[in-house]
Amino acid sequence: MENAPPGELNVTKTWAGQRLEHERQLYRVAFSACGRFLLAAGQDTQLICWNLEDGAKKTFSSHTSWVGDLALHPQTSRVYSGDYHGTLVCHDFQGDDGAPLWTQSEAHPGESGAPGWVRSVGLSGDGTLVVTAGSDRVIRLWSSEDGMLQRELAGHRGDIYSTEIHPDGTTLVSGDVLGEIVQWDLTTGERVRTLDAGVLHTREDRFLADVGGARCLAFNRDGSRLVCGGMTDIMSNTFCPGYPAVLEFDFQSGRLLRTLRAAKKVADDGPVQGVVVLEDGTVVSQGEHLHAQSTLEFWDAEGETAFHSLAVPSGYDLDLHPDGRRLAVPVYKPKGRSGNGRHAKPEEYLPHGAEVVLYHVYAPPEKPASEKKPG
Amino acid sequence: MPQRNGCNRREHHIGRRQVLGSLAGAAGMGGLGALLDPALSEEIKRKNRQVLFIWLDGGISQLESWDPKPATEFGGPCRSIPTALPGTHFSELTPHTAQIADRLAIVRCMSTKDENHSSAVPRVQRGDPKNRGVTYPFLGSAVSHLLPPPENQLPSYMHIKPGRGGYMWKDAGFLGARYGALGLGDGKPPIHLRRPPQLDSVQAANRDRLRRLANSRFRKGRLDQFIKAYDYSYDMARQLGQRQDLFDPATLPAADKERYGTHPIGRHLLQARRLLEAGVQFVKVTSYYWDTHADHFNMHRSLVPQIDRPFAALIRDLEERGLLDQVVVVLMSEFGRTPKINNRCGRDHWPEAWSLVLAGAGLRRGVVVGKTTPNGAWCDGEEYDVGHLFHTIFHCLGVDATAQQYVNRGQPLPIAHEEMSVIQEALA
Repeated sequence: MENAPPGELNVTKTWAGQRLEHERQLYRVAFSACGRFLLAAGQDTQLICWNLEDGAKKTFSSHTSWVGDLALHPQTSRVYSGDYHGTLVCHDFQGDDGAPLWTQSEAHPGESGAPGWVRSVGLSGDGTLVVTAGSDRVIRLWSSEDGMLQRELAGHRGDIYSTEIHPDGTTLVSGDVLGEIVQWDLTTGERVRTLDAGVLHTREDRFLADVGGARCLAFNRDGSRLVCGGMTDIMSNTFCPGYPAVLEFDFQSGRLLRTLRAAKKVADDGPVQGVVVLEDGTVVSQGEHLHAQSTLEFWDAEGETAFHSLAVPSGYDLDLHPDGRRLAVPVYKPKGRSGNGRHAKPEEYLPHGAEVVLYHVYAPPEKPASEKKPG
Repeated sequence: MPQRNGCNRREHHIGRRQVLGSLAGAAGMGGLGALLDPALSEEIKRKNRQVLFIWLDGGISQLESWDPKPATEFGGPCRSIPTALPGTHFSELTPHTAQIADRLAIVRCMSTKDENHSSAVPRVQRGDPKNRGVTYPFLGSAVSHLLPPPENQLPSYMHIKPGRGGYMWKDAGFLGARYGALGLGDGKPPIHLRRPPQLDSVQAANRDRLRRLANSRFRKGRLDQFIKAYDYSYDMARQLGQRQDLFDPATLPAADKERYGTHPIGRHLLQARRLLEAGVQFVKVTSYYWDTHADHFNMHRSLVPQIDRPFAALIRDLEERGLLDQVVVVLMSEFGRTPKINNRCGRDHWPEAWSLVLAGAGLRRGVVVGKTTPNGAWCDGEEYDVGHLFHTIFHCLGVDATAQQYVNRGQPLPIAHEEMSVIQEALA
């Protein structure tokens, strides 16, 4: 079933296929341009590369902290990953020795008491520039070939959580914790304009912190629409509960078109952490939920409430396969209980693990007659 | 029947006259220390002892502050950084406190029982005594009862907190309302302290007589405890009314405001410094919203620097003013946070092994007490509970918790858990 050619797009028939396990929590996933590989990263400082055809798993251990994001080159087998120590690393994920091709150890150095966490990594449309951004509020453009710094884009007032390249290949948008989405021209470094997603941010004096933010961004195929995921109406900075939302903008005018909501409201929801737009314009989001269970939500071009919803484990990212028919989500896989207190002997007290689940957005193929139950 | 909540403490009877008498007999024989009877000298020292109790409500993460475990299974994404105490590292989120670590006693082996706020907050702040059917006082109430009253006209127990203030008589437990805390909402004095300018002193006196008359009617049919709370609240506010200068932001140097920060914790710790300088015996500062069950690392990245910078500034200021020999400083929460990172990238409540910071009078400077396992999850060796902490604080204040008792309606009660003792390694 897994290797059958994908069928016609039909999100109401979405089904879960491959499950790729890892012993530590994973927060980021990306398909390779050829579609044969899936890369992921998270808590344990490793880059993980799965061959989707045979399930073979390979790891790269060049980071010294959690990996904040990764991006794959559109033409080659290079992967670029940034971590919470402000380091940017380039690997050839099909290379033999696992050694990095180059490393920028001070890509986002931060400052005393405010470390430079890389939160977003992307590539320009032609693959020549690597885009990085994070908690130092600066976007940096690097040569994808040798890692030399090309340009800095400053002006965000809050930590940057997300970046996305427009289908034109040279327009960049970046979203921050304050819900400010900035449009940049990559060729000139010019700040073009700002889109307001401030509804995704909450700050109250009693919180002592900014909560929420523009967690993820995506364009539709022709670049006429921009979607941004997060949550609204955040109630505190402790459990950070809010109301998951995806904002859809008309990209030409910058006008907010719709605020997309889940089919069913659940109390104490976390933010939308991943969003993609399918070829027919269907918007898909993945949520991070407080109580381990979340949803994949699907919106068509009409209305603000999802027309389809699929219960899935709480997840942290969402990527669309180049064939447009598969979605990858890194989800939480518990090892023992979470919550307050120990609930375990020391030797049984283990960090939670992860699975990357591949969801197929078409009707599952018919089982061969030999696999069907008689009668 | 009159309530007797207390003990026969000698220091209650030491007055200025007694000190002067002692001095007169020894005139011309050297410095003050040499002049005084050693016991009396000790009593005077105790009279000046103060406490600054900083409470980070909800639970600061030990792993993102005083006991980092970088590059381990539960360590999170932060680095550790060296401190002024050779061989000791803090989280990179605390660079300012790292620079003054040689003035601190860092306890890394706290192990307590409660994993819920509702039980842990009062239990920890009351010293986790054995259950004897009475409500023990919070630390601030206990200290203002156990120490001789300072010779100033200021309330002995003041609590700077976000939100509203008011008189917090429940803190006092069985000691009775007079040992409650005067809450200063957002660090500001109680409202309506100032006499309206159109009211002259005769009118003010008449107004006070009317208040007393109304109070006498109000007392009828109400519990004594409540009436006392109202009375003390009023008296405290009146006392404080004489010291408006303590709350005037205009008199604070701009450089101090910058060093402490303009966020609530910074402002409140700067206000605490002013109160300590004025001689307030017990100053408590509370900061809420440290309970980061979700988005923990982003939240602690914002929160920890807000305590790091003003706390370090405060320790330096106390030292410069000579107050670090006189003030016991405690920085703590009701528990730490789980090493295990949950499904919302959060840390939950962890009483098993956590850290707190002490500094000041009677405490060793530049020491780490205890340790945790390499993954930070468990104490490795000696563990200390809140009872040990209370013994230690009382010891630093000159109160022997093994010898002194409360007496509540004739019932003797230990002032700290009788099966525990001081944290010896933390003492000077």
